[in-house]
Amino acid sequence: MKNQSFSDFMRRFGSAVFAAVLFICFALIIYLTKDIKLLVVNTTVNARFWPIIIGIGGCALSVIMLIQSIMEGVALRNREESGEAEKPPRAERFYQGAKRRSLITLALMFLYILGLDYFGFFAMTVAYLFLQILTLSGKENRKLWKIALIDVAFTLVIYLLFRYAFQMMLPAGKFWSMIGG
Amino acid sequence: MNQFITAFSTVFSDPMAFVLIFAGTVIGIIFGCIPGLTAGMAIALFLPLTFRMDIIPSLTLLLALYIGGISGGLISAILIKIPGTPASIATVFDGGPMADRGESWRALSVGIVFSFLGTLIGILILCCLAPVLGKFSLSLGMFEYFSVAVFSLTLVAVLCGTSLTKGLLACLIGLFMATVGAAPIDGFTRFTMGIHDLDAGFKEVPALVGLFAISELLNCGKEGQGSVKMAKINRKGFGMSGKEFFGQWWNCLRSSLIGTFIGILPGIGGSVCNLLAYGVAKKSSKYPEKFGTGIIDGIVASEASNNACIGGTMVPLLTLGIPGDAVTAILLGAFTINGLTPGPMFYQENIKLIYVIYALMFVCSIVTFVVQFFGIKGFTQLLKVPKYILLPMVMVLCIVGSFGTNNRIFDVWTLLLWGVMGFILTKFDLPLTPIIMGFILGPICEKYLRRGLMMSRGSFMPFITRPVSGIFLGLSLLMVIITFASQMVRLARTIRGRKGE
Repeated sequence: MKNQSFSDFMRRFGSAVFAAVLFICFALIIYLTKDIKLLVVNTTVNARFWPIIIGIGGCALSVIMLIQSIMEGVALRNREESGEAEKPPRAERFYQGAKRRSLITLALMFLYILGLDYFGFFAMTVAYLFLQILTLSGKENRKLWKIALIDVAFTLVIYLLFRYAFQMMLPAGKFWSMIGG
Repeated sequence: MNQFITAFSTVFSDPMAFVLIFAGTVIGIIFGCIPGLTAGMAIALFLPLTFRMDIIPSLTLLLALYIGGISGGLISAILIKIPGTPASIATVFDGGPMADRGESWRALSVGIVFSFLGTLIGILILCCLAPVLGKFSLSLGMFEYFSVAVFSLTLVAVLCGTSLTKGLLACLIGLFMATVGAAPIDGFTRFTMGIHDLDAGFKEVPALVGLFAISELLNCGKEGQGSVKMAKINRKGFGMSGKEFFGQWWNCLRSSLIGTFIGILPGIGGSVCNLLAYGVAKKSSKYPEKFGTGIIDGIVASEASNNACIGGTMVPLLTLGIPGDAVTAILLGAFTINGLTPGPMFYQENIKLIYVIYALMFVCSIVTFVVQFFGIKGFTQLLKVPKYILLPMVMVLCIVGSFGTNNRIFDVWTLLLWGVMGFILTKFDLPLTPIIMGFILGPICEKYLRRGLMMSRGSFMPFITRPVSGIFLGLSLLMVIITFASQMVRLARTIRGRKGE
């Protein structure tokens, strides 16, 4: 029940919460400008000037967005409570699955980039691609051998193309250089 | 005329140019025809490859990707009713029903031919208009440049997305991201949090790729994994009669003019012009009721306009140094890497290069036409590749591209940061184009504002009293007031409307 009312609140006033977060971020920008070193102190048109303008503009617009979002949220709540507007059904299982997939994708990306420095492009790409395709594909499309084949072939082509044909640097990986001495 | 002949001979004398044009066009069409991948993404991904090239080969590849990418959008719009790029949305309206009736080849053929003609008209207008604007831009000073940049940002904020407030906030986020690193004029670092890799600020490639490609990949989770239903191509001859072709000349010309004009206005681009040209074609047609049922007029309007837009977006880039859209913002990066700064002096000092760009655009549009017309079956096979395989591969290419910018992992982390930021902001309906425009135009705005204020000893008056500067600032203010007022009226109607009913 608590979950239900929280999701209802976020559906109606999520934009208002976001506007408040934006306000804090822009206010923080103004605050952080004090740390910027200045060459000439006795002028307002210095390195702090532009970020302060951005911060003030951002704060003002966030307040406008906050007011607009609250007004829209209240109107939506009134309409839903009076029965004029229909409440959307609770988040379906598909949506929940999608949310989970997005989070796993983000985690995989994070681990992929983290691992690039240590294990290099080839090893990390093979691992990442396999897990990422597995995450995004539905159960009916999960043919492991096929995914593995596509994964290795693609990584090999990209590695050879960029490293040798285009002469571009790719992360080699500290781990392999440690093993190799 | 001599300049043109010299430019064409420069292009034709280098066999490598043809390899780059062909490769760029094919890759561009592939990116254009697959929904979720865009021309901008293709250019951003391939930009690091051009770092070791001279300016002409580098522009050859990037322009081929751009023209191919915009043209390729019609393939998926017609065959699977999903526009490959936002520039082909209106192509679905009539292309889809035609494919349903078994006239997919006719629809594709019309689209390919009029895309080609639209591109040519756009380039011709670019050739005529750019010298005039180039001369005019010489008379602009720092006050005017600041005002033009503010006007561009306001226009983008007003026209992109659903809300002015959100559009302006997106612009400010972009402007702030551009302040990270060394400040213009005095060079002091700002908001780097002690991270020395940030001293030079965020790099453009990871920022652009992250914002558009990574956020798309994160969004992929909510999409279905089933295979797409695709119409079959029954190829017969040229696809349309001579009478049909010549019957569309006015529709093609009008739509191309709309596309070019919209392209010149910063930040709007093909996604708006194809819908606008479609609407105008429908309104001025003798048979408006047939639009949407599968007639070639709709495809002609959409495709001629979105391709003509390419020439239009190049006008402000070459003459003022202000990108017309996200794609030309990346092209601006290609110029900068080669030590060139588009703007008023650029047009005077690099006239040979400007004509080579025109020549390249002509050749790229011809190659795009030939490749698309004869290789259509090959491109349709790509539409069968599921997104769950394609997008992770794109992610790997994004990583390679970002790492290649400076050969450091830090840029790959910034790619992820921008991607997550784009993903979160789109969840709250903040448009991404104003962020990119703010990020690109931020340093220009700050530099000219500060220099202008230093020159006027802190007075804002010259920004208002100088005619060109005053007009652009006035227009910006007017746009904000009108849009804000109309939004307030809409909000009041939303709140009270039901009671009124």
